[in-house]
Amino acid sequence: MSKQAIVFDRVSKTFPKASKPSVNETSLEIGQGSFVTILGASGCGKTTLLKMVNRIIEPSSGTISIFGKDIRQQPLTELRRSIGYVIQQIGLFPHMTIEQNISTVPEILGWDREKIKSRVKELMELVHLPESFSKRYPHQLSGGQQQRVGIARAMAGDPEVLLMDEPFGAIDAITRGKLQDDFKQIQQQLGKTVIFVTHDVEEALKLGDKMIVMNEGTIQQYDTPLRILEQPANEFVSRLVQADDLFQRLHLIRAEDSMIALDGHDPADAGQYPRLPAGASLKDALQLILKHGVPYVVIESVNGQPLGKITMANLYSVEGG
Amino acid sequence: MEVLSQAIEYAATNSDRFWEAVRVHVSISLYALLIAVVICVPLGIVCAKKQWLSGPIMGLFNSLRVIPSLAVLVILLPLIGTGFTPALVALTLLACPPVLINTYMGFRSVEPSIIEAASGMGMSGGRIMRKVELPLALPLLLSGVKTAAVEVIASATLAAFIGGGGLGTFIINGLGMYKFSLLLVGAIPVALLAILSEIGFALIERVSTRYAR
Ligand SMILES: Nc1ncnc2c1ncn2[C@@H]1O[C@H](COP(=O)(O)OP(=O)(O)OP(=O)(O)O)[C@@H](O)[C@H]1O
Ligand SMILES: [Mg+2]
Repeated sequence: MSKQAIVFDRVSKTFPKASKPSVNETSLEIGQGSFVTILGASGCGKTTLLKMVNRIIEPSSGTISIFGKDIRQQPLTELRRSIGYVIQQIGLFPHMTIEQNISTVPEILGWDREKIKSRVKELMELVHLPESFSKRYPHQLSGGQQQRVGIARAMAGDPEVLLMDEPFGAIDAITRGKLQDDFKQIQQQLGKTVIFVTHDVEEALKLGDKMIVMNEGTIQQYDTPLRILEQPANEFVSRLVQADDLFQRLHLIRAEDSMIALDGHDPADAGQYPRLPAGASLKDALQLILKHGVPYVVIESVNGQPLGKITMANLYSVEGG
Repeated sequence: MEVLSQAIEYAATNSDRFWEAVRVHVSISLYALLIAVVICVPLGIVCAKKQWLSGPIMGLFNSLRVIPSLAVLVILLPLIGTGFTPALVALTLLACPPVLINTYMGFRSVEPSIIEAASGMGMSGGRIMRKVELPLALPLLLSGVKTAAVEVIASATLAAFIGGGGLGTFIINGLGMYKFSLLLVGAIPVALLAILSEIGFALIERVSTRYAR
């Protein structure tokens, strides 16, 4: 059995003067290296649940442990330095350069200059930011670039656990898709444990190895995205992910008809992705994408020629229109 | 033009008295400013952190602002007499409100999300203060000090009324003797000092907001 990274044991949070708990009696186990997305409507307690892990919010009752250790057993600042945190509003330091922003945690940890420098360089490469940005200030970057910096900054101290609160919130669909693909790849490559809050169904399905569906402070279902689509635990989950509707529509559409054509050339990285015959339905494509956790599947002709690809965005544009 | 050359001539022939007056004027202004900063910057920070304190404290200092400096001097006269000290007290009271209010506004203007990000990464409270809050609050804080500096330099002329010395002495004498040139010996340097401090602080402010350009 794989090691548990984060365990919630009957955790509740009721804010002062609130009539009901924002997070209610929640127990949860998150395995090491897994990518867990939290999905739910605004105000259902996603952020509250997340912020209890690094004690920005203290639970009213229950315990949370990280790698078997109760989070209250170590000094607060030390706990937080060991957890990467990307807040909902990005929160870059406007008076510091990109380089200085990313160096925040290494500096607190007292790394020497050379090590910090090379770490910053490495991280900027990892999140695909050009090195020339290192001396710029946050306001000189686009929103998507700033979110990349936020992620690099959170990862600087090489934390095992990353908490991310709608990190790709205010971003256009195309940049967002790119950031998602990049980040998922980074996470798989480094084997970090990630808790990722979103209220975007597509994002939650696409990124999560597992997915938490929340409503009014209570976890409705905690399972793989595929299982959540196929076997929603209740009416709420099913309505939120629109599973029935989605599957029915997708089942009726041939993958060939809504793929992005490759026009004969094989993309360099196509070899590593699962393939589907041209006659398959979009439902097959969706299931395959979710099962393998890949950004897209390749549609091939009878003789194995790649014809096109289907991405998560394709599937949702079908659903939306 | 003639009065101007008379004024310059007066200053040249009484250069000892003139420079002594400048020295007193500058030093009384500097002390007042320094004391105001030492008291009001921490007070402003406390107000920004503890909302419930800000009402009473800001109210107190704002009401002090309403009392004219001259009135303060008259009130202080029976208590601490005449000379440098009561003048300094009056000027310090004058310098306090802008420093306090701008410090408060500067620290309030720091986005809570930036502070949350800082503490979420494990920065200690002191480090957040030094590395994040203070630099971000600095431009507003400095502009408060600038306002205070200009006000204090101008008002330090009043110190002369209670024997505090400074450039105001020439102004009072000039008024008393209906000698316009003598009045200018005090007034022109005061204006120059005020302009200089304005320019100096504007430069420092520019440096402190370099990152936003
Ligand atoms: N500091 C607080 N004091 C009082 N109530 C709070 C506080 N923070 C959150 N709440 C309440 O707790 C509930 C859950 O809030 P939370 O921020 O966790 O929602 P969320 O799921 O993250 O929503 P969103 O998608 O809008 O970010 C809400 O009803 C909110 O009003
Ligand atoms: Mg939230």
